[in-house]
Amino acid sequence: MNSDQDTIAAFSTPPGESGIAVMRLSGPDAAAICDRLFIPSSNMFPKPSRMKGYTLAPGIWAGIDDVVLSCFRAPHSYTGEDVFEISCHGGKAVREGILSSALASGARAAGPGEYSRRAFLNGKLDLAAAEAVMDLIEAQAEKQAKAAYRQLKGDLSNAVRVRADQLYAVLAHLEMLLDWDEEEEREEDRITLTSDLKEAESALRHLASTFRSGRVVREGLHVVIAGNPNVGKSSLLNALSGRARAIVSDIPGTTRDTVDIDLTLDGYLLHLTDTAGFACETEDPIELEGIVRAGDALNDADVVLWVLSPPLPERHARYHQEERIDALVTQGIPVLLILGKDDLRSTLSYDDDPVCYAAERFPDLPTLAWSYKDPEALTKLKEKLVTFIEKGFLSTDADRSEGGISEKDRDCDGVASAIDNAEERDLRQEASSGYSTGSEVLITHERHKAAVDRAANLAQQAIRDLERGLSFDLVAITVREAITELSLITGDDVSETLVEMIFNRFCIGK
Amino acid sequence: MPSLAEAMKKEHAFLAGEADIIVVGAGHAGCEAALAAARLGCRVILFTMTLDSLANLPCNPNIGGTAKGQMVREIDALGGEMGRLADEHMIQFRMLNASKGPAVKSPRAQIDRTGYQRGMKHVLESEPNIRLIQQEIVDLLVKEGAVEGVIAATGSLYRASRVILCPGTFMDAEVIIGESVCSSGPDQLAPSRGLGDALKVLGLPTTRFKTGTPGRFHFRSLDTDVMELQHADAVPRPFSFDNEDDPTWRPLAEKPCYITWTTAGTKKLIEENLDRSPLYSGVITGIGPRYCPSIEDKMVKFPDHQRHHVFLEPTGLDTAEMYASGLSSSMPEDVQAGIYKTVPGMESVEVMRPAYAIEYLCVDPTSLTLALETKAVQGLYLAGQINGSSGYEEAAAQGLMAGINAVRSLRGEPPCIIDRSQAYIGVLIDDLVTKGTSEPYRLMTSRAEYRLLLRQDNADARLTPLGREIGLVSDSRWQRFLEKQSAIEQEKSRLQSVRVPKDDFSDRVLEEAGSTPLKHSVNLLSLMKRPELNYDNLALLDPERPDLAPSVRECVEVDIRYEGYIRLEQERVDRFRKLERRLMPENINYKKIRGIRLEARQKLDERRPVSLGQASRISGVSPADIQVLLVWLEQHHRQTKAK
Ligand SMILES: Cc1cc2nc3c(=O)[nH]c(=O)nc-3n(C[C@H](O)[C@H](O)[C@H](O)COP(=O)(O)OP(=O)(O)OC[C@H]3O[C@@H](n4cnc5c(N)ncnc54)[C@H](O)[C@@H]3O)c2cc1C
Ligand SMILES: Nc1nc2c(ncn2[C@@H]2O[C@H](COP(=O)(O)OP(=O)(O)O)[C@@H](O)[C@H]2O)c(=O)[nH]1
Ligand SMILES: [Mg+2]
Repeated sequence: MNSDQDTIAAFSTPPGESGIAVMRLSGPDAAAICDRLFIPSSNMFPKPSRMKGYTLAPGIWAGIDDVVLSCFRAPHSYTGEDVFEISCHGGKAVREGILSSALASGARAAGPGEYSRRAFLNGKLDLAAAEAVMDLIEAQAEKQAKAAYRQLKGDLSNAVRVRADQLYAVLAHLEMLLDWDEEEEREEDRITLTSDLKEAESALRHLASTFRSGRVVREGLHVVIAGNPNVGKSSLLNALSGRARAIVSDIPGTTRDTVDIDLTLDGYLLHLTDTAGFACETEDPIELEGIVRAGDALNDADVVLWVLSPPLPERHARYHQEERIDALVTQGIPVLLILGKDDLRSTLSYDDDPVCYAAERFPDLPTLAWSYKDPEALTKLKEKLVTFIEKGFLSTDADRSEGGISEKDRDCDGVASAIDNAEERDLRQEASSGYSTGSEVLITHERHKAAVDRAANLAQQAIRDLERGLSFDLVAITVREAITELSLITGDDVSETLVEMIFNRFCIGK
Repeated sequence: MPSLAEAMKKEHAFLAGEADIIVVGAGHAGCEAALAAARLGCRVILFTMTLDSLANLPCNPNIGGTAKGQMVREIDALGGEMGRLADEHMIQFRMLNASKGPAVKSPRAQIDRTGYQRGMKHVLESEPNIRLIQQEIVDLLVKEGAVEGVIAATGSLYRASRVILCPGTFMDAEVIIGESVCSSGPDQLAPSRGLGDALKVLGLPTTRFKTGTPGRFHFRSLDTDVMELQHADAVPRPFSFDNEDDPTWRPLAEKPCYITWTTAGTKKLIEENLDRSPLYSGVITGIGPRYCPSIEDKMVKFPDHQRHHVFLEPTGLDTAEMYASGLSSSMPEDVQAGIYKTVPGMESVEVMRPAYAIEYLCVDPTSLTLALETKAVQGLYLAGQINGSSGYEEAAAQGLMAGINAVRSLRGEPPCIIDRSQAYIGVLIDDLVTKGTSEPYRLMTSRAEYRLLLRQDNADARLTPLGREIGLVSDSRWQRFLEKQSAIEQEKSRLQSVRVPKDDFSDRVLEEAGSTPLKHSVNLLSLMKRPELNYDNLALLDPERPDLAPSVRECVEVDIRYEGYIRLEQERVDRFRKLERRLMPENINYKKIRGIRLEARQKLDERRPVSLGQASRISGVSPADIQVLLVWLEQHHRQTKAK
């Protein structure tokens, strides 16, 4: 369970690109965590744990960024605990890097209103302020209840549930051996336990890798439209934005530069980037420059819409394209194949049909049949993007047939859940720019990711312990801790679920 | 429900006795409650349905086992009786889980059933503050929400301002064997009628639970040659601190168990006769324990298991009755007889007592405080199986605590509440009172969050000081306890000071122990932390080693080898305690606290937790609700201070 003894971390400056961002670490381990991550820029500055009262020190944070560390020792700080503030450069990569390094070093992502709550409990806020904190927490409680309910049904929670169940099965096995099996230890149990744990661990690692940062919800989704010239990229952008922005033409390579537009979709922010096509035979320096920029945009994308339209390119160009798509996949950037100009499909031969081509060459990538003439295709595309934002994966066509996701229960990552629409988001923005600082959406996503990461690490430790020959009672402690991490997402009462599991799986009792 | 004054107005009213504390029921709960109260100086009356069956062991006469064994040692450390008596009447000892780690190592003993009963009767009779009376109690005397005494079936009245009810499985009990249902307590003892109604009148929520026991068989009729033999441990260990390290202590006997298995024939027979099982025909409606399923239950729930264990265990020193663990059943007698024919070694078995199920009335323990006092009636305590638990040890632990707390309340002292990080006793009572139970509750080590701290080897260290404070630990035991603790500390610092040099000799010793040579000289204490090393295989490197008592050695070894894990566990306990220490004001109006969800509000209002920690364990109260309460408490605290 979340405890007031944990050291918590969150950005206290508003999200979004800004010159400087400030992350706050508060709690008993704040200094120790800074010691691990922060290298003072010269000997003139002390190690963080030696910093006293209110002091400043420039230095490097975990090799990520040049930062300035400000130290406020308990009780003379906002929360009344040891507080360290890290002022860093405001870019997204830097911010994420700094926060995740803090989380990896033992901090926990701050919950909504948590800084203020601590401040209040430590006597740093007066009663009037406390009233306001109360209001905030009350609102949060409601949202969390809502979120918890949705999470129960949500895909994220289901995914975690499945992994948690694997761990429960291991723990139930262990507990059965400890509580009910009167024989001495058997080697085969150790072997089964190890292999079950390995399975659980790799499933957890996989799950962790599918999480993306909550920044997507908070700061918008970077969608990059890519593909060869003249496949209909600009038309796609225009269709999504509802107005003619990019230049649409029959001449390949018209879009020489990237075109960016921002738009909202179901209350989420999208940054759309239209790129120049990747014409490989061009000599035109302007066009070449466009291609380079397109490449940069791709590397920064949260999701790439890759348009494939008839006629399919020559073998050489096709090869180049495949290489680029494969590279994106290896980088872990999600790709949705847009099978464009679907209206022309009836006129195509098999060899020219992007649908057949995609099925053959990229059977694992999700696809969407697209035509700028078909309003339904647009609806489907929007749905897919919303699902992607909310659930972190691109649905396949099979999923899509289940109907609109907006009707379905959305996975709501903790408080992020509460953001059903832009209006509510604005509300939150207000709350977090007021006296409360710790309620960024980014955190809740990070929080879940961090919980899954920790569970995976604990599973790994349990495996090592089993291999080292440690006794089962100690292994059980570690597995239980891993489950407890996941229960932060699933909301399980660990003991109850465990006892249930033991009785269901094992024939117990003499 | 009459008050004493009202009852006295009746013609021929007879006030037959008066005491500080009345205990109803002389099972494991009642006996511990009466002894604790009497030893703390109170005058006690202890009632039993019959003086011929005190501290009965109606199921398997074995005491201890996983979690339970630890708890017997805890009861002993606090000054309870069970451990001492079990040591005295032990006929087989086994240390379970010896290879699975110190946290789950659990002592378990087979007991001479009638000897234990006689022993308890003798202890009770020798206690000057206890009056032992054979009388069925059928009603309570209550005035203005406080208990004043009890009424016996004969109409006699007994006065006391504290009453502890420990009627076990006797209240409105029915024994069920197949189609036969008869109103009876266990072992053909008379059931208790009336008391259950009295509790209902008082508004206590009640329910019916069910449990069962297998048959008993004449030893001569078992073909033990076809069974596997299971011997007692070569080195028996006593439960009680009094007998610890005493070279003269021995069990009465070391009787073995015999193991056999059910067969495909058993399965087939049960499946064919399921319609005659009261469990499945609907005769039994009470909820039975999942950890103690009948053989028919096991067949239905685990159809893939081809066979199930059967343990034939001795039930006494001088009796031929053997208990068939694993064959609990409520099937009709003819089906039972058929079942035995299918089990190797039991084909021509002589049944001495048939297997049966028993249904009885018990009380929802969430209606109690952590001191085991009913919230509805002041001075009325419940302990043992009446609280939805099951098991001798569970009963004894509750009895002990109820006895202690009744005395403390009489003296105007705050109750003694043991928390989940201190003892299994704390886990047991907190689980029952805070969460309630939907089946007969059995303690398990997996129910304890801080299992590594709640070990059998340190039960004395954990609880003797508390027992001393309560007043149940004698001067001589206290002295011995202090000596043991200082011996442990001394040995630890000795091990720290003994250095092992890096040389050929140490290389060889370590290699033989399956370890790796030293890089440089180290002390013994840090060497012992290597998983593959222990006291035994380090002996050659420790020539000056003093002659240590086995119990001291065990504690030192666990303390050193698990030091890292123990420290981590201790840190978690410190966090847990923080919430436990945040007390809820008594008259808190949950309806007025904004931000708590409705479900949680109702639960909190109903259960009225004493601390924030307890609140957090109530099902339906979420972490978010706890956050709200935390802030509310602080607010409340400051407001009251300001006034
Ligand atoms: C058939 C059966 C099977 C069991 N199986 C198991 C098992 O498999 N595992 C397990 O852990 N436990 C089992 N138990 C439970 C175990 O026996 C009990 O949990 C334990 O004995 C309860 O102790 P107690 O002190 O609460 O009550 P008991 O030991 O039942 O003692 C009750 C006492 O109260 C007295 N009494 C009752 N009513 C009155 C009254 N109105 N007036 C005066 N005296 C009264 C009785 O005479 C008796 O002395 C079983 C019990 C039975 C009967
Ligand atoms: N039939 C058909 N034509 C399309 C579709 N999408 C784009 N086009 C046409 O294809 C040509 C190239 O479009 P454009 O969006 O500029 O492609 P880009 O170079 O990839 O950006 C234009 O003439 C569009 O009108 C479509 O879905 N169906
Ligand atoms: Mg274009």
